[in-house]
Amino acid sequence: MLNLVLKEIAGANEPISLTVLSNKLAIEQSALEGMLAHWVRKGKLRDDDAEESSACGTGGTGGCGCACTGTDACAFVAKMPKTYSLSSGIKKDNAENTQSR
Amino acid sequence: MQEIFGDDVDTVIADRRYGWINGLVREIVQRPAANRQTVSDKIDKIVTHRLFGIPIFLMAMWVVFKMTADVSAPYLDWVDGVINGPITHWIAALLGLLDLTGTWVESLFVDGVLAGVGGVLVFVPVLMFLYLALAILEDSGYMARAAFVMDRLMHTLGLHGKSFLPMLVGFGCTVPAFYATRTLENEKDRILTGLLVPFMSCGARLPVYVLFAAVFFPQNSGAVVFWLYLLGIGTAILLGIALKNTLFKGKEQSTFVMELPPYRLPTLRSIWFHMWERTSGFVKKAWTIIMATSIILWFLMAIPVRGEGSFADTDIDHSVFAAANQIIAPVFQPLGFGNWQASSALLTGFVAKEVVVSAMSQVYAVEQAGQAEAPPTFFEDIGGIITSFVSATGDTIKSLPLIVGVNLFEDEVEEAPTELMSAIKEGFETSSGGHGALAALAFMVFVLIYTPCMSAVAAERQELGMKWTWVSIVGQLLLAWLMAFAVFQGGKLLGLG
Repeated sequence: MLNLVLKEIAGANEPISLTVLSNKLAIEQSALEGMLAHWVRKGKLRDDDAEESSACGTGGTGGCGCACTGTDACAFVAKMPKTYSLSSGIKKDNAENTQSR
Repeated sequence: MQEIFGDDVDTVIADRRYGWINGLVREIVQRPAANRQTVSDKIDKIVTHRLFGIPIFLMAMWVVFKMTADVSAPYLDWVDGVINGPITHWIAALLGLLDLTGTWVESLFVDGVLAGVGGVLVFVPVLMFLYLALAILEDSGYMARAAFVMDRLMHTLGLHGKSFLPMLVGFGCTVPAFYATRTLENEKDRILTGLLVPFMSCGARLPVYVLFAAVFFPQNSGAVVFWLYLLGIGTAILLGIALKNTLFKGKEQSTFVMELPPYRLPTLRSIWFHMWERTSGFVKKAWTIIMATSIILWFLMAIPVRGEGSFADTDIDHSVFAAANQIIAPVFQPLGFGNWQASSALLTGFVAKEVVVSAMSQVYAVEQAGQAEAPPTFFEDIGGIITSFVSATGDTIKSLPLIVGVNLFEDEVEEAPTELMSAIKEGFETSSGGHGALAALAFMVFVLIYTPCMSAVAAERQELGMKWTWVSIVGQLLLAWLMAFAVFQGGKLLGLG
């Protein structure tokens, strides 16, 4: 099931919404979020929000001139949706794994 | 287990758990067909539709720019009236009490600080309306859909699907947009997106468009602003495709999953918070960077060259500032705005884009009409502020139908343009040989495309490195010149304007 999620993301030809993925795999959206979190922990997916925040550091003073782009840091930053993307090389690896099984 | 299942133990256990739970839920939970689709899902079917998604996004943008350009106009006139009326009277009276009337200090405050900072503060209502519209789009959940729809388009065009997210941030401010490119893992994608981000017109450029659209295209100012924003997006996409197929030719695009939040009815508190935070950021900038720049510009305008006049008592055309800008002005001659006033505004725009308007207000300094009349009393001023505010509120409500093309002001006599507007119009008509509207359009295109402010350049250097920052600066200047040239010369050839 978990591999199916990864395969579906890797095989998609365009960005997909969580709702579409949930409908396609007939998996509850809340369960799907947990599955994505699993793959983030395993390093196969990237949680882009977390990547961005981790680049902030702790000594920043905030504001639009700082590297932190969260809504708290700069008033001009629009709230953007959370995204998960495949880590480098996963698409190729996943396709190979799928073929070998 | 690892050997049998070909996966690590954690994944195998988690997989079995999810499988078991999913099976259990399917067997036990029964949902009526009607409940399987939420309202958000139903709206998303239309809003993120492959065919309708982009037109809906364009329509949303149209409403945003009609709101910012047309609906905000009565409040813009009100703030303009307050700054050039009561506030100017009060500063003049205060300087009179200090016995500074007629001195260079008075000129510094009135022609420097008030013209510079006031010239920018006039546009606070425009930005408030922009931020109001953006806050509604964000809080309702539509902005996420806009990003999704546009990212899908970017992906189809061969660009990185996630490129549009930083670009959308760029509508507010270019600085955080550069930092938002960090969501792209691949360096090539990150640099490419970083190069495209400045073409998204930031909020600071909006006052320039609104001012010029009001001077040269008063009947279609909202449409002009809308097409300029669209031109920015179009330029970024086309340039992106060109670069992707040449300098940034590389690996295939990776896909991603986007979590679209459910639609919500925005709360007044949240909208006010966003609007206030962003507007106060703009006002703070006016009191710091723009005020400092205005004072420096005033000093440069007060120093005479070739001994014509004395300090703070010289014709502005004979000042150090004019002389310095006359050197670069010929570069802009083929674009229709080869006068020192326009080139100085563009040059100072490197500090912050709002400064373009503030510099215009200073270089086109004009004598206020009716100065010979006795100024109104303090209470008359207060009364005037209140009554004009009520009238502006009424006009704003009346101008709401303009969004859908219904003009309730048709029967009213059009207000006379301000002295600044007349001076800008005259300046552009003269420099372009009678093609003022075309020159103004070329000027707006140049402002849209050319190098962003120094804070954005600093962020760009931090994210892309020195080499790509220089490529970006030079490239944007060249592209801005070429596009403005095409607008002005092409328009002349076609007999427009």
